[in-house]
Amino acid sequence: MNEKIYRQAMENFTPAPTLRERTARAVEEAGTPRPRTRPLRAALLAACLCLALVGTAFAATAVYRLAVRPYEEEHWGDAFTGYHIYGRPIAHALEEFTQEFQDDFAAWDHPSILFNQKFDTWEQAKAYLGDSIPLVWHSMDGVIFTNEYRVSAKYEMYGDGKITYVNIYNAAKLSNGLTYTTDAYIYTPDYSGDILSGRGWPLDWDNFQAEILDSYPMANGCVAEVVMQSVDYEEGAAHDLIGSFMKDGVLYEVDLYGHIQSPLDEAGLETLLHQILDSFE
Amino acid sequence: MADTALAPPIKEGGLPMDGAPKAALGFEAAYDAYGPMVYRLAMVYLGCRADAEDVTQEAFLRLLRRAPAFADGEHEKRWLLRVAVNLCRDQLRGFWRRRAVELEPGLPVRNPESLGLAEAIVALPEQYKGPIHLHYCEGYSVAETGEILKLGQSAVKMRLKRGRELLRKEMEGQP
Repeated sequence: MNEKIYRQAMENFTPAPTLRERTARAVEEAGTPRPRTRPLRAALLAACLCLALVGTAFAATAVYRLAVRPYEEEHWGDAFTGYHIYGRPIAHALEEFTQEFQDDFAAWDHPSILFNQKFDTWEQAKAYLGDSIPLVWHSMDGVIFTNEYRVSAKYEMYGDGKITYVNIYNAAKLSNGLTYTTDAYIYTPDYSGDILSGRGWPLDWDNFQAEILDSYPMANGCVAEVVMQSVDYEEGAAHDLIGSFMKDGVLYEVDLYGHIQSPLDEAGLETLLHQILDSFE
Repeated sequence: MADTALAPPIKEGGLPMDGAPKAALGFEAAYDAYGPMVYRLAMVYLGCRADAEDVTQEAFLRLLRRAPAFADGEHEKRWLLRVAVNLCRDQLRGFWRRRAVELEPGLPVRNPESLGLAEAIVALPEQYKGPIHLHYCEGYSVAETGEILKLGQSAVKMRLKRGRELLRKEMEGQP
């Protein structure tokens, strides 16, 4: 196939003359378009906003955004693709956590790469980390079961053993049978780079694909970046919808799993993810 | 010790948001320049005139309501294409779209000899349509296609390759 043959086929798709009039009418009925902001004015406005934001927690929430970018890399001779989540977290030094947390980490004899503690409730997990760490959680309706809240810390095994981030993880099941997990990541000054999260898979996985969906403006003022990962099986497709957002410099990720027999289709899963995201304070 | 640096600026499809903008096209000029392009893309994704017209109308409404300041006409064109692709995908995700897309029967055509290819293109799985159309119809490079569709270059190449294979099999009548 070449461009000429393709374009000949596409000439069959010519809009009717009436579409022009119809669209013009719709535009006219929609009213006067809003004036577009010139880049220089936008830059000045952004600069003023920056000055006004210092020390203002609400403004920090409004300003922090994540960026989702696809990538391709080669590892060990194989090609991989996926996406990275970029952002600029607020770093919290170890001393900002509770003394109990610091003592527990100091006493950890590093049998594995992760330092782990488990709690029955969100309130217990939050109290363990301390009031200096600004954390929120969801309050989703219809949750019929949650497992324990796991607090773990990732440290550099071959570095000097310092913590790079602290993670809180929990899984929940809804009354419709669907499950989702929630992760919160609190970064320390020893975390380097602006790639905070992401997923990857071999480029030649024919039955796997990912799609960056529309960003979602959450009820709490944050903006979530949403990615849908899909796997095609013989019996049908399964979908993972991952919503990532940052609040007060902490990264949150909600992973909603739509299995093959999911009661919701892709649009329904996206709506449900939005509902979960909107239940965050 | 807190780092209050702002998040990195979000780029629209990888294109820089700085640069002196040119005066925005009014509706008439914008539709004449890009209307048929948007409609063709929507027909490839949706196969149905009514749906393609809806997408075209909505894309221009968004252009007039929500568009950013464009650096140039090409920037505006790519923005419209991405909006149109997203609108088409929204339509395809609806409950009533679970079955495969087919070209609307009885469509008046200009080139009957190429109608078979047009049908085969519309019947392609969704993930191949954008790369095939943007590369072969709109003439975008692999890199440019990737920027518009938010895909890496290797993914675009792979989807072009597989899309071509599917089209060839379909045109040759192979299963």
